Amino acid sequence: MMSLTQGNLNKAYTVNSVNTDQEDIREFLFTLGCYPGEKITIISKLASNYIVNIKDARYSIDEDLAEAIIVGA
Amino acid sequence: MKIALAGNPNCGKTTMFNALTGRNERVGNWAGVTVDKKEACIKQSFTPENEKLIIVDLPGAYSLSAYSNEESITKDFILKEKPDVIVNIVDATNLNRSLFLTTQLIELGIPVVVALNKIDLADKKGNRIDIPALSQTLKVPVLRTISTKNSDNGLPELIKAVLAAGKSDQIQRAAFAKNDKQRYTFINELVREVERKKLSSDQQTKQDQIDRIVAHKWLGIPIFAAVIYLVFSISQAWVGPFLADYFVGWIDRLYEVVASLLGEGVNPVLTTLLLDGIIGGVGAVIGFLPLIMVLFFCLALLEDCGYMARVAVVMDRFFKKVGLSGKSIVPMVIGTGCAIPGIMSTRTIKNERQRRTTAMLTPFMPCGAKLPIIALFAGVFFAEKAWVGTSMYFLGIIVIFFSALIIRKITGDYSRSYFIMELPEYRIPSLKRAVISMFSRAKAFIIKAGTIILVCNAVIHLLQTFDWRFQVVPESAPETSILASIAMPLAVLFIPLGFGIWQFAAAAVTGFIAKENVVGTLAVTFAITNFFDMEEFTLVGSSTEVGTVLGLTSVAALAYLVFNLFTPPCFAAIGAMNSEMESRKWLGGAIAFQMGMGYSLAFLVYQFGTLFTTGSFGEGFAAGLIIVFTVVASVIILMRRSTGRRQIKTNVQVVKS
Amino acid sequence: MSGMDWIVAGVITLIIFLAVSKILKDRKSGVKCTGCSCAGSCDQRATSGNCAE
Repeated sequence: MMSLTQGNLNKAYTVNSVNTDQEDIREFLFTLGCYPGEKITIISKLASNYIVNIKDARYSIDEDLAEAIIVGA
Repeated sequence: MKIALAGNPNCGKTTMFNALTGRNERVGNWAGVTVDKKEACIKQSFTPENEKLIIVDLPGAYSLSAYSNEESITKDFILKEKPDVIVNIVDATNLNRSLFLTTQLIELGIPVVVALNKIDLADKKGNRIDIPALSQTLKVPVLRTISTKNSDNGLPELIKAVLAAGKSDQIQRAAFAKNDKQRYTFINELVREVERKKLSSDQQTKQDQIDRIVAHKWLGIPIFAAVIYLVFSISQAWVGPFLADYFVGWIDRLYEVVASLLGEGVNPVLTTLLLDGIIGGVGAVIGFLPLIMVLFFCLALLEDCGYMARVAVVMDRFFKKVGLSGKSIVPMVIGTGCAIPGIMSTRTIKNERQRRTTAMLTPFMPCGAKLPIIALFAGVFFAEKAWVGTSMYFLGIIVIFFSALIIRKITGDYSRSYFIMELPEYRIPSLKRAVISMFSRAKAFIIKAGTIILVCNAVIHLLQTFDWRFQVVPESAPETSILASIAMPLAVLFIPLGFGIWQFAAAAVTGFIAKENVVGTLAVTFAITNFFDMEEFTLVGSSTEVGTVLGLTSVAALAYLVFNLFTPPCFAAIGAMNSEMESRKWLGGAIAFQMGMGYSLAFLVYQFGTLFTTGSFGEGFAAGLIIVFTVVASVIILMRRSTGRRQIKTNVQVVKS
Repeated sequence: MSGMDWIVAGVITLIIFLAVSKILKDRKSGVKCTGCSCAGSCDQRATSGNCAE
């Protein structure tokens, strides 16, 4: 278990949980397909943002959010 | 029959809406361009039996549980207004995510037709989708569509299926899952069956390599600066003025033809009203049409290629430092076209303070209507006009950063919000769409010039021609006119800014009706018919007569330019701010803040510019300093007060825990 | 005022009348800013139920 910020590029991780007290962002991530059990891949780290692949789309998320996404190998 | 277009953001709903209805709504290659529902009737060619179909375009949503304001518009419309048929547009390149909304929609019991849009892109990637199997499992018709294509785009077939679905009596109410977790399990299995992919989507692509450069930590900003510089030099220094010269030639000819038609015999009051008030004033504004068209053409290309989402990523880091997020850049970039849709697009920002702050600061980006003012003053008073023009946009960005800091301090709201933004795929921008967008905006500009600007100029001309006893003002005493006597008290306030002349005060006021009026009013009050130099194929240079007629120093001209850019926007934009902020207090604060900002900046530019060029401060320094000092002091008091409040708040929280 | 004056006055009145009536017509149909360069994205024209126009 670790946060997405500690992950390596190009490796598919499985989401374990979204560690935040903001319920709506967790729900929003869920509708995008980022929920426990689903895969997430870091494509690149740019500026202070992470480009991630969830299902078939690319998203840019900031460090705070990447920190909140807990993944397992 | 009412048909709703629903689907994920950036799946091509508005493109399809435009193709079906012939309307020309704004499209762009990023999520969240459409923030309001739009209704229109379908084009006749799609309905051979002449049925009346109303198409409703809705903002994109990832699911029926709404996250931001514009998503709830979609949810409310579908749940409350019950369209007869829902066309669910599914991005064929992202089948898995899209089907989440699809299954939710089908479960509502309203007939659904699925349009597998962007199917050409999916084909190109080598993805194969088993459409019959998909249709069978979902129990709804599924059709291939490519709404960007003119023919063979699947749209006629789609409408046929929609009509059939709308007329059939049996409503299939399917239930795919008990809860949303199961829904995904269902979808994952379904997609595994119907979709064959050549390449897994988590592989690195060329697009990702481009991202690494344009959204690079250090390269990102210079690249953005270069792009903006290019757009504005093309429109203001290269192509725009070149075209404007030809264009202004026609206006001049019209002026001469009318002048010769009228001859000498007609009452001079009427002659000048028609020639200088109406034709001259409107002509001076219309003369900038080519510049504006080129600007909008470039902006349309920029919005279409997918770069804007990357700009948001680059700017996120900086905006976060001042309490906003990268999402705030999108309204500001839209605001370079017109502040109103920019302010409306703040709806995609979830955090209330961030949304209100962005709505308040978006007008600081010079909009299309301010372009004539920039072009005029840059051209008349500065030889290096491309440089002056673009620097106004960067000054806008700096002022926005600075103001955001102040507002965060005043509100005492230091909350941070997460930033997440979908990165759409890059594509080669469509020239056709850019041309259509350019002409529709040109048409709007001409309508504006022929209505609001024309009426304002006529009124200004009349007020300038007569005095309070309705006698014609003698040429030797223009300051006795009604206009001058109204504007003069205001002009006194502007003395510390370097332009305490009643004509400039009047122009600044008419600018609130529409910013193009500033140019129009100056043309009418100074009786200048056009601002372009026919011989040199450029805007009038600094040495020519317009500068002398206006009678300002370059520094004062720059101050006037800054004043007009950073005072409150036109009334229509203020109205948009009102509806997005949903708070009288915020609106009042925003207008007061913008006024203070415009005044203080113009003061600083004029006084320090004058000190720099002549070695001493300009006229009215002390009086202006008092005003600016009052503005700054009240801002500081507001900031202090909120800091005190915040401390009390945290104390309470400590006691509680 | 001569005959020509009246004609010119009439033309000016007509132009202004047309401009004002266009602004008023737009107001009625919900267009907040006539000819705003937002190209229709800021007007809330509702064509609900009536496809005749």
